[in-house]
Amino acid sequence: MLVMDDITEKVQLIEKARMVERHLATVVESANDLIVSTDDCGGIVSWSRSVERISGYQASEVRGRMLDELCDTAQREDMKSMIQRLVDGSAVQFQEINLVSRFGRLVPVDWSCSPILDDADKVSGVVAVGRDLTERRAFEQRIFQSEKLAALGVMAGGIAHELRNPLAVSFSAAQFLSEPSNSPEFQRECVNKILGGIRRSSEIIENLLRFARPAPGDNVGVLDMSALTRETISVLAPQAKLHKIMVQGKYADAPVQVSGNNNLLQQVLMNLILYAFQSMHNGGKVEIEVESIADIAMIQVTDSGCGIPTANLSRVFDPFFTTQPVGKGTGLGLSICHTIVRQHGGEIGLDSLEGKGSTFTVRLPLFQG
Amino acid sequence: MAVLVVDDETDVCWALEVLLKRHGFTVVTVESGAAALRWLNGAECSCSLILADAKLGDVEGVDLVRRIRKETSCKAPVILVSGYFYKDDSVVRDSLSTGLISTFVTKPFCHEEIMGAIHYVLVENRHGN
Repeated sequence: MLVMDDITEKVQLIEKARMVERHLATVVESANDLIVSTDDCGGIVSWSRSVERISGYQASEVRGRMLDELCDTAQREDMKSMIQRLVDGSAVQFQEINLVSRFGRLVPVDWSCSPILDDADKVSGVVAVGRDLTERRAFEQRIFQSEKLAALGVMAGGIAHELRNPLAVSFSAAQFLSEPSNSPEFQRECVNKILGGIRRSSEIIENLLRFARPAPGDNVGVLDMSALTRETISVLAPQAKLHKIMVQGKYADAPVQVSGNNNLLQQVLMNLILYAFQSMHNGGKVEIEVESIADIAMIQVTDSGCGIPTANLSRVFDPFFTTQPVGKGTGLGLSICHTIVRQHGGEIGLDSLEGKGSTFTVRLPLFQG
Repeated sequence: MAVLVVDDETDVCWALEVLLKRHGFTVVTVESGAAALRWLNGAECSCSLILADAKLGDVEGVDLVRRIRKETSCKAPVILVSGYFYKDDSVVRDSLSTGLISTFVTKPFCHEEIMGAIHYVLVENRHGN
């Protein structure tokens, strides 16, 4: 007996299933976003063409390797724990973790990860969709730099004043020296005044140049927020003096270490202190306190200035929000602080009472050495 | 003839004191607006000229001059010395036009220039009085 079965429909179904599969693969391969899937331990299963392009690694080279191994050394634990949390059934938020390309370049990527569930609703892996932030970071760097130059413009008056004093002393001492009949003691005194004046002028210029230079985006290291605050206060000393503002730093006994970009974090401190200066029209006091609380580095900048009206409190970190007259502030200073602090995994807050003053609080994750 | 020098920079006071003494003046230096007012209100004060910095630690130079006129009997002419302002800044222009200050010298200063300004102001003041 011969039993014949018409399999036309089956063949058609298989062909249809293949088409859907091919279509899905094409979607994944054509996407500009980075798409990576891993097993439940974080071992790479698939690696889209966009990740190949950005990382320089072919899918065949990375399949089976742990995804965290391809991340920035300092952030490997973050990637591991993000995958673990998903496997444990917790939700995770967007997280910025750098990939390290074949050529050692750090590629900033904003990752959104979700669990892959099997038929029994058990987590069998993780799908990570990432967005390459390289261009956005480059654009931000340009904005940061132009804002920094704007801050330098604000400081120009104070700097000129501060430089002209040692110049005046050196200039006078040199004129005395050029006159005859000076005693040897007086000649020595003049030479010392000239040397002191030159030393002081170059310190002012050096501080300024250190602040003005562009910050390379990947210049990340472990730094002490107390030391950075001291340095920033000294750069701003001429401006403080000019506006009759007393600046006081209060520091924890031990170093308050964070992992971050020295230049960008200095820009945050600089902008917050300059903002405090602007709120004090008749002199006053700014206190900057740096301390470690549990696993957080906390920096508070408190001024005795005019405070911020309640209606404006929610807008102060918005780009281009300013109450200053045209030409007196870009309205970008605080929004840049916000962006930089967020990039460092921290947050920035504000308490203010109109007529009494404001306190800006920056919280950054402490470096876990 | 006594000259009062008000500048919060010790070394600027030093330079002006040496220079003025070399030209035969008696010099008193103070480093704040408050100290200037105290000295001018003191019993032994006799001052023919004041050289005031425009940016003192406790008060603006022009505000100090206003307070000197109001709170002391001192009528001595004032030369504003500054590393912050320029001659065409409105603060300087207004202070000159109202007679609050007699002239203005920028830092760093050439000795000849500042001595010229001092002689001009003293002569002018003598004629004015």
